[in-house]
Amino acid sequence: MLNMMRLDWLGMRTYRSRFVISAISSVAWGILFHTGLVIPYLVWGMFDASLYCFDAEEKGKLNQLYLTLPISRKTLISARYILSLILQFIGIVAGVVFTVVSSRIMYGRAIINEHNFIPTPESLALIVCASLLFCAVLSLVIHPILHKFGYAKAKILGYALPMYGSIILIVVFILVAARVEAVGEFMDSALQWALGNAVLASVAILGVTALFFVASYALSLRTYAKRDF
Amino acid sequence: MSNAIEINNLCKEYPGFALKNVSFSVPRGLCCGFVGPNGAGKTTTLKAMLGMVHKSRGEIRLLGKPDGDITAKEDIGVMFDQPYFQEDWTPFDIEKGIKPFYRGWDSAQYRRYLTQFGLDHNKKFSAFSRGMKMKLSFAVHLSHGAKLLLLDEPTSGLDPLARDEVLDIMREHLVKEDRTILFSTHITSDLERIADMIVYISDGAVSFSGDKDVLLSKHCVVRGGKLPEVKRKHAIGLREYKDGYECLMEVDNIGGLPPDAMTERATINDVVVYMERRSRYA
Repeated sequence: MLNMMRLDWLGMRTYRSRFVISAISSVAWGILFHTGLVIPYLVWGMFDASLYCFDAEEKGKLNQLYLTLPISRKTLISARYILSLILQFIGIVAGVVFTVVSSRIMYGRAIINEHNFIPTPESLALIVCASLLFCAVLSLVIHPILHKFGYAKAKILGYALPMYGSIILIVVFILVAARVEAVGEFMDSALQWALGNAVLASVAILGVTALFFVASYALSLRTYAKRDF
Repeated sequence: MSNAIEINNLCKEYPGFALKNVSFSVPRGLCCGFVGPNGAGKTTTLKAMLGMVHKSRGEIRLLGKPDGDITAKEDIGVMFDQPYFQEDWTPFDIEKGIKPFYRGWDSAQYRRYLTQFGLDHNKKFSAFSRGMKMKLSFAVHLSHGAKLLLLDEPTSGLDPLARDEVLDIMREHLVKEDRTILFSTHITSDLERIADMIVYISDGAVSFSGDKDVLLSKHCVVRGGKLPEVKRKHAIGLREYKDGYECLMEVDNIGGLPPDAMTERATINDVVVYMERRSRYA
């Protein structure tokens, strides 16, 4: 499995500059809007970057190589999921470090958003868990579709739409919450409850996240196992 | 002599095409040419052997192991019409990526092959010519000690010199004991030069599978003025002109031809061309 992860990573080499772009843009979001956005953006960016392997695989027709290697299709899928989780974990670590450091520097100096954000262990834990949950939901949609149809066939419906559509939905939801009092109040109270019960909320979110990832993995295994190349 | 490849009643259905009970075997140590017209099912058969397409029915054994046993792939080298490595990989990167999958990988051997084939270790894959890419792919598969090479048109699109070099590599590979090659090709001169046996597939079914010399001794080319009606059913790939005809015929069936009929020994090219004519115009 480790060998397959290495090979997948090697296949994505031409895309590695995009990882740096993702990190820089996350930091920019933090400076411009809210340092609390850095972790979600970085984790999302790393999840997005992990999907480059599908594009790389098709451009280099690497699946023709992978399927002739002495590994099972299950190993191939497992390696891909673990690589994705490792990249998300890197996003979390980098995001937490940057959030803590930048919140001290940027406190009261956010360029566009006047709100301040002081990270606490509770808030950081919730942000990390929520970010992972968001990626797990995306994974449940994206991974099985890309494993079934490949990147070229499914890049609009199976990748771009869920990936960027979900961001648009979140922005719309935030705008609605800001304008519709009832929604805003509900969100505030939910957030306060979560911050007051951070351990319980984090465990619950992580549990749901794990379920989504496991479901995504199982679906990918099934769809990829049936695919003809 | 045990078989490196055993395929029994392999079936695979696609809309508009099917592999129909494909059966053949290749003994260890032989080089087998896998021949047939475009779309006959050569690549599908190769992919089914590797588990890249799922067979509908049938049995496949490679190096004595059933399909699905991925350990067999440790000893199998596969090349499709072009090697599939990432464009920005160098031979050094390819070794780094592929080596961990094979216990039998020999780095010193790999470097020797790169030198022997004149391949720059640090040149990107995209910068190699097609012939160089094929040679690089051979270097990879020969370095992990593949006992069975499955090659899908390894010489197509190569210039005569590169083709000659690739055939030499294949021939050298066969010198060692217990090495087997199955290669599909349209180039009949390659078959003449290197194949010990031939599997001919047409429209998803194997028409002939056996020793090359047997195939040649079994057939002859017949030319004459007019082919008698009773002989038409034995004519393979019959071509008729205003003042004559020519066809391939099994030697057992030439008795009873008119005196003006001339027979001559068939070449591989004759057999392939006439069989393809039969399948195309049947």
